[in-house]
Amino acid sequence: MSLLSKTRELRKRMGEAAKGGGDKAIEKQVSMGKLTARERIIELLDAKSFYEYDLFVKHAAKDFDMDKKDLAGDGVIIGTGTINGHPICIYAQDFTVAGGSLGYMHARKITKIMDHAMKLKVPIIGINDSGGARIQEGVNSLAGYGEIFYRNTLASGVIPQISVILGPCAGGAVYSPALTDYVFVVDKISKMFITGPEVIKSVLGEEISMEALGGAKVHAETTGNAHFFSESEKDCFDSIKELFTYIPWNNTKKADAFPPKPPKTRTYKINNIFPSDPITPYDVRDIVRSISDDSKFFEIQGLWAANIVIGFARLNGETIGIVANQPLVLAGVLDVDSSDKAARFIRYCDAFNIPLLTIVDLPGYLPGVDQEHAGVIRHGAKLLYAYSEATVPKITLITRKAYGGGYIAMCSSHLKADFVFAWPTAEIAVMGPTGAANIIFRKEIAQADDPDAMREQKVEEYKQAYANPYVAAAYGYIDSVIELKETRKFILHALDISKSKSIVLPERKHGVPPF
Amino acid sequence: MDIDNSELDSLRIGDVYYPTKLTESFKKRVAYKTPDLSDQLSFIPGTISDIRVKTGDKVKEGDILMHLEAMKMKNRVLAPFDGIVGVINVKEGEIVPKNFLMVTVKKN
Repeated sequence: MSLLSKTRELRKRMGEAAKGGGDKAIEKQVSMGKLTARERIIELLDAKSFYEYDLFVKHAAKDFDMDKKDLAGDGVIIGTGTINGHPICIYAQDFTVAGGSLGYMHARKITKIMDHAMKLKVPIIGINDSGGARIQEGVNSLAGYGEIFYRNTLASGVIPQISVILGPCAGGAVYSPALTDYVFVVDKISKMFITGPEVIKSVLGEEISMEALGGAKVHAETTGNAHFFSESEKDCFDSIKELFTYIPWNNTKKADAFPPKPPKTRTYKINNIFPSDPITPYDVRDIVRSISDDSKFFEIQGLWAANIVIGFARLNGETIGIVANQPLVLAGVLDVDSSDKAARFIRYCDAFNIPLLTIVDLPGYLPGVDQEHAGVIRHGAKLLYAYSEATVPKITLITRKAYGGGYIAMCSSHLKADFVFAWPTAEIAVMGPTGAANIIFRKEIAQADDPDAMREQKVEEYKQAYANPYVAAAYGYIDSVIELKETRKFILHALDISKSKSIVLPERKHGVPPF
Repeated sequence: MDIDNSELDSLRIGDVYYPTKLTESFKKRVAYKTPDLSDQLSFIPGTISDIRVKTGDKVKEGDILMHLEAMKMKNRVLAPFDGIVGVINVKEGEIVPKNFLMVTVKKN
């Protein structure tokens, strides 16, 4: 055989394998509003940067007539490429090939590219579109999932792991995304659940559609399993690319620095956004925008537990992680979900060398039997744990209310914030003035001729004396009380001065956090 | 940037009412009720089997009243205290949802 004919044979083989499940299956995929696995990779990565491996892998299953079936690439595409010019590893399940089902070799391809990502210390992106385990391959497909989960766990906090759910991801398969850093979902395309509607109906008699059980909206708003919600696959890829501008390529690096830009202070005037009385709501994201570069804020999990806001911004061109109580939603209280949401993000930032800015304004914890029974103690404890454990630069800004346990939890100086700033409107106290006055002056109020008038007077006295930043400042718990317009300047200086911060935690295998 | 006041509800924390938005999950939360043990509710959806009592029967605390089969398990429905069986609201083979009133027991 000549070189030419050998080359022709290679091209023929590649052409066949690249067709995936064939024209009919591709047509079906497209009719569902989905791109094919290969199109997705090309769309997401920098132009012409994708190199594929294991194109000719074949499954080795023999049972149930599987030996007579040929599955192109065994239903998954793996390879390497670049995003924003940085290298990444990627895999994409191909639903057109046996429903993207996960068999032994399919899993081997995924674990191979995951191992590459770990060796090369580059991010791994997984595009999930699979009917689940390949039942014909029995326990081998279970083994495949287990091998993936193990690698997800070891890679956690070492390289960024991104899961993109672009189709079904059901049963055990859901646990790989759950172990990764960020889960992206797309409206009407993503479906995630452990047990599907049919099983739920047959066992429990409860009827629910796939969309209502585990659609994109559900995971973005109700369960918190998803971090980013998009209307289309293209929008989803755009947000992935944007996310990558904020995060480092692995845990030994810092995120890319961008040219510094001032905030758009004409649009985001801090004095106009911020109400000085402690009750009127405002959107804390606008406070972030009033101090961030170019007034940009990249929010994460914006639809879930919206009473706390998390996300990335840049200050003087460098990434900072933001955690902020949101007075606009549930008055910014802490509860089970908001504690979970913030704690995980804090640990993410800590793992990937991203400094933290915490903006505090909360009346306390959400009261209720449902909260207590849902375990607000152990969930709330995650926040304390995450802040205490974090060794990246920690800067705290108290804008208004910092009462009780909420004050401690929101990166107080006691959890070793490096710098705590407070606006003159801050109220740092053991509890709100009314509650405190009612307890401290109980006798006086009860014995007064006019208890209501006495209560009002005592509340006012307490407010004057204690509902301010100066009592905490007198003990050094607040480093500086600052004017609103000085905020960016103080934070930039604090970040600048913290660049070589180094803290050594006690030697241990790992802590035992209140997961 | 301006906040639409028509979207705001009110949330009481401590002694203060805060104007703020409420989340869907907050609106959907169910008020807690102290369970009334004389009403035996299904704690899981399932199928009723093996009804062992009828209205007017005297029962002792811990007696098996019936079984509620769910998730391949036979769950025993027990008398919560010594008493008399009141209404039996289910038949054998009936599939009941969660929190369905199965049987009542009156305290002696």
